[in-house]
Amino acid sequence: MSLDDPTRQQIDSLVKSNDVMLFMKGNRDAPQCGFSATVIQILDTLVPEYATADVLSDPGLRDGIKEYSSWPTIPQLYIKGEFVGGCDIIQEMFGSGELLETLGIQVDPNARPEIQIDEKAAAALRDAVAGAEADGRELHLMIDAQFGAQLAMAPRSPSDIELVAGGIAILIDPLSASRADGLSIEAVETPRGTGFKIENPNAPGNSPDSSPDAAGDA
Amino acid sequence: MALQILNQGPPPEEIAGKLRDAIAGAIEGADIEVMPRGPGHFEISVVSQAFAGKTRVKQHQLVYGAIADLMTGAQAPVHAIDRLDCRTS
Repeated sequence: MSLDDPTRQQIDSLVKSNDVMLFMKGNRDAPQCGFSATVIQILDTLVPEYATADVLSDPGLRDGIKEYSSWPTIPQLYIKGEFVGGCDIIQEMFGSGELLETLGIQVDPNARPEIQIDEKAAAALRDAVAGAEADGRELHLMIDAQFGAQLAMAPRSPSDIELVAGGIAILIDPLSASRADGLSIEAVETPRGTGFKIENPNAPGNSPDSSPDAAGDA
Repeated sequence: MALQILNQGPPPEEIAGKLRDAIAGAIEGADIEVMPRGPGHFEISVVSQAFAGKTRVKQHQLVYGAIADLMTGAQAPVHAIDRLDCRTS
């Protein structure tokens, strides 16, 4: 077998010094396989910072991590030094809310954030919704761990919170809801048609207290 | 030479037997089923009391740990376990 002492020490040190440590193919910006990309997408939703190690650039690590974890596939996620699982298990735990618990993220299932949607944006959204409602999808607002916001049509999940803003219903998951209070959606005209500009006062560097000229290089 | 290059390795039934033996050696008294599903791909189902009280991840680690030798390295006869089912009864 392939797990020599230096590789074991390398893995030990990675999982012990990083609370959230993902062994994957590629890196966070450029995952090299669909399973790794799925896990990156989930982690981006949940945690602003985590560490990754690319097994493609290190054959010793690629075989070593499989033996270290008694797990034959990549990606592999460790949280607080404990092996959590691969892509399937992470997806399942994300869906059930168990992954939030493991990460120590607390959300208020009854949060009711205030959000604003201007008239023009509301009209455009109403049109978009009308086209997709027939197949059971509803309008969702999602905010990831770095406060990137996204509007999407998706099936309703049992934990979704329903908000009404600008006269339209919008669903938001509890984690996104904890990042959404005070958010506003405006319509903007682009060469490709009407787009949406989403302003979130909770985003880092976006607080009303920060000085007006703080937008430059950080 | 061409025959050697085209050689797909041992037949799936033989590899399935090796998987069964490896699991039986690690989990005593287990009821094991290994089904070939295309080249290098297998589905495995294991029934054993050894899984009692263990999380699904720990159950799978028990099986994967037993068959690691068959799945490691460029020449590994087993590429993927498409489905692994662990139950206590």
